Amino acid sequence: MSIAREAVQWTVLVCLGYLLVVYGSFLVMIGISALEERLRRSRRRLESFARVRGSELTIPVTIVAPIYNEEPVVAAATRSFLDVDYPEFEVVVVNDGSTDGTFAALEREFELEPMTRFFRKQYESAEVRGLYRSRTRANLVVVDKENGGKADALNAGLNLARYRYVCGVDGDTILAPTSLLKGMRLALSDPERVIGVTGHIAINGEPERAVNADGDPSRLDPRTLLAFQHLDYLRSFFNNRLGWTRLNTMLCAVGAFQIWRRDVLEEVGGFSTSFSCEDIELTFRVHERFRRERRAYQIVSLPETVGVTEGPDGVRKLVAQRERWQRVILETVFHYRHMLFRPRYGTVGFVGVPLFVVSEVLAPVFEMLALAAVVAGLALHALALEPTLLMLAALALLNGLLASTAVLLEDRNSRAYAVRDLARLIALGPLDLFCYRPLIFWARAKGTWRFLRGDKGWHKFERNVRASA
Amino acid sequence: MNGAGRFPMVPTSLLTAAVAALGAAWLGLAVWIVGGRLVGGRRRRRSAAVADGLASGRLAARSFRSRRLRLVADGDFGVASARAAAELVRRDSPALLRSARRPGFRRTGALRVLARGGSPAAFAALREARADARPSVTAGVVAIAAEFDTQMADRLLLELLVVGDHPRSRTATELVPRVPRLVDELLALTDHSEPAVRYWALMLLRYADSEPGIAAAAVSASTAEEPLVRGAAARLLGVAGGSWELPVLRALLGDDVFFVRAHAARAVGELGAQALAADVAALLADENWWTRAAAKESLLVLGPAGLEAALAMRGDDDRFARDGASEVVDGFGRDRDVHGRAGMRLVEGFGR
Repeated sequence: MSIAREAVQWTVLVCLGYLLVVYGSFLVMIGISALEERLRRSRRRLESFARVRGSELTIPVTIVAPIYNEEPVVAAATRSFLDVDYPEFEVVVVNDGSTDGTFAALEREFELEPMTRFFRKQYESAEVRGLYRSRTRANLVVVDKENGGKADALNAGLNLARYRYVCGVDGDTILAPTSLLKGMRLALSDPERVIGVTGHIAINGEPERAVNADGDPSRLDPRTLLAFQHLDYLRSFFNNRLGWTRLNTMLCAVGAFQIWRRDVLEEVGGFSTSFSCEDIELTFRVHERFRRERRAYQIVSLPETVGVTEGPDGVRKLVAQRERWQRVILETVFHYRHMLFRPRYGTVGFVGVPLFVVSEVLAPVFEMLALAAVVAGLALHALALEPTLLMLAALALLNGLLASTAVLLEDRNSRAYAVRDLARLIALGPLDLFCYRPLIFWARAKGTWRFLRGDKGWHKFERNVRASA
Repeated sequence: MNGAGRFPMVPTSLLTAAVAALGAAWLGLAVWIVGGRLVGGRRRRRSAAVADGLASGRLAARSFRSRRLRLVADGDFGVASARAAAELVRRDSPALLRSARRPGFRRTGALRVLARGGSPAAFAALREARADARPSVTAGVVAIAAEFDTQMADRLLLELLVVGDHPRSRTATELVPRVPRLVDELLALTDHSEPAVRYWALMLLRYADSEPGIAAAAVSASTAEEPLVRGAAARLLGVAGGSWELPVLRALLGDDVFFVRAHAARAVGELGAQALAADVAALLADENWWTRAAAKESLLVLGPAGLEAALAMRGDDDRFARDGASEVVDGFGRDRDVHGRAGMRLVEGFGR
């Protein structure tokens, strides 16, 4: 019995050490993120949006939106892409062999008609069944193709893209009208170096209803599970990605909003279909190439919310989504493991990838160990109840503090949400550890297991049922 | 280590204190966020009300504290900002000038207030700040200078374009509305030693009123060694050229560099040079995708002459030319059955 107790106690100590490292790195990253946010906010005041918006010299962009079974949201999402406030852009929507009424919804909404366009097949993709243009929106092209996955659809869209910058978005994302201008403002401030831009995306069960009359995100979903996801995204972007930007180790330009210089995409061969998900892998690949070739570059994250995307409104769907994310993180980190602690890869090799390994790859292992150790420790009386509970309370409050910092950084930039929504997000912070993390823990454990089994499926979650449906 | 009930070996009092401290920090931050939002909202509303009053002349700038005026002067309130800034300059110009020389975020704020307030020293301070060459300061100088429709602002922006401390595309964006009164200066820059400066001078001249000197500058630049400059010359000819310049455009359509050919093709469309429609149509067989795409766009813009030229290419030996021509014809909406025949083979294939 005493050996078991000792084992439990050692396990708890190791887990505490792990927590110390993880939360220590989080706190350092928050400091760096706050500095970056301050700099960006100050610089933003020095730019004339109106002039950039009205200038012919502003470089045009192609928005590429892969869609698969997005019937409830596809019309609203495509409208939001077409309504972005930008001098010159085109929208290429790629229907990736949807099996529901997605294409019909597009056809109806935008009065599509077949068109002839001979495009260069620079990237391999599943067979294109037809190309369509809209009778009402001149800058919309719809590609109808066989199902080949998101990366495949993005590559098909790239084949049609006419402009020098490409903005990849998700088909269930409602873009804010200023999103492209905000992103391109950063790209154009130093077009030689800034090769990729991403931004914060808010979460809602019905993104098409989460924006105000101006099209800006303004409403928090009343459902607690979705509010927790919103908070999770806020933490991820404002506590981490801004700091990564400062260190030029931004390892994930999110699929819902990723602007890339097209020549960079051409150079690295487009989106890879060999991974469960395309966004993290592409970002890693670009870093790997530019660092290896010692070229000056930057991939940056905006300190602003650029749109709203659909989050799963049920536990099962959430677990399916996060399980996939965990798998793709593991696939990517495993594939690019040679970057770890190699001087050639600079901050990416010494800070970015190690942080990913510690906070994402190893997390399920330590989470599982910690849970088992606490349960066994209490059962075996190897842990005293009172200090254990106090430690958990401290951890919960620390989580609350981190979440509140993210809320603060977001609010300083957007002031998008009502005060009651801010208060709600802040209040949910300390509850995150007990109400939301266990779900993520389960999803990560499942994802790790599936990665070990070599599963590469997408397991897309079913669309949320709309209140009006 | 294994004493039952004692592990983790951290005194409960210490843990309780940690929990209390973290709880207080969380609560404090919560109050700060929510309170900051409420106070900030009130401050913004008050500033807007003051700005309204100043703009309409209902309120006098003299009756407000400097802090309140500064919020208005540094904000985007048009006339009200200028009135508040003028009052601040009247009250304490030396302090503003000192702030305008100090490094940090307040520097650009002080520069803006000085410039908006009409301080005679404002543009000297802006030049001084530009010489500093820090990217954020230079960005600030460009933004502030762009607010003023004066010769001093024009010259400062032109200087910045030449020096290139700030991305030239951004400085050029600010210069666009000023081009009609900067034609001589820009024409002089078309002979500058740095190709990037020549490029931007030619690009900006697109926004000038038509003048013989401009077309001549474009013709002269069309034989430049640097393809970037030749491309800009082609684009300029698209708006400033005439029948005399068609041979130059024709030569540019056959340039060695693909993007010069592409710019020339677009320029033909922009100029409406129907006489060159067949030359543009020949580019449907170009080896480069960008050039082929530009040729298609140009033919569509050229109207009937573009359509005729495209129809003539439908029997061409080159598959790319035939495909491109079909696409152009489809674009005109004349030949609906084209889609039916060509729709099965929408891909251009590899290698080109």
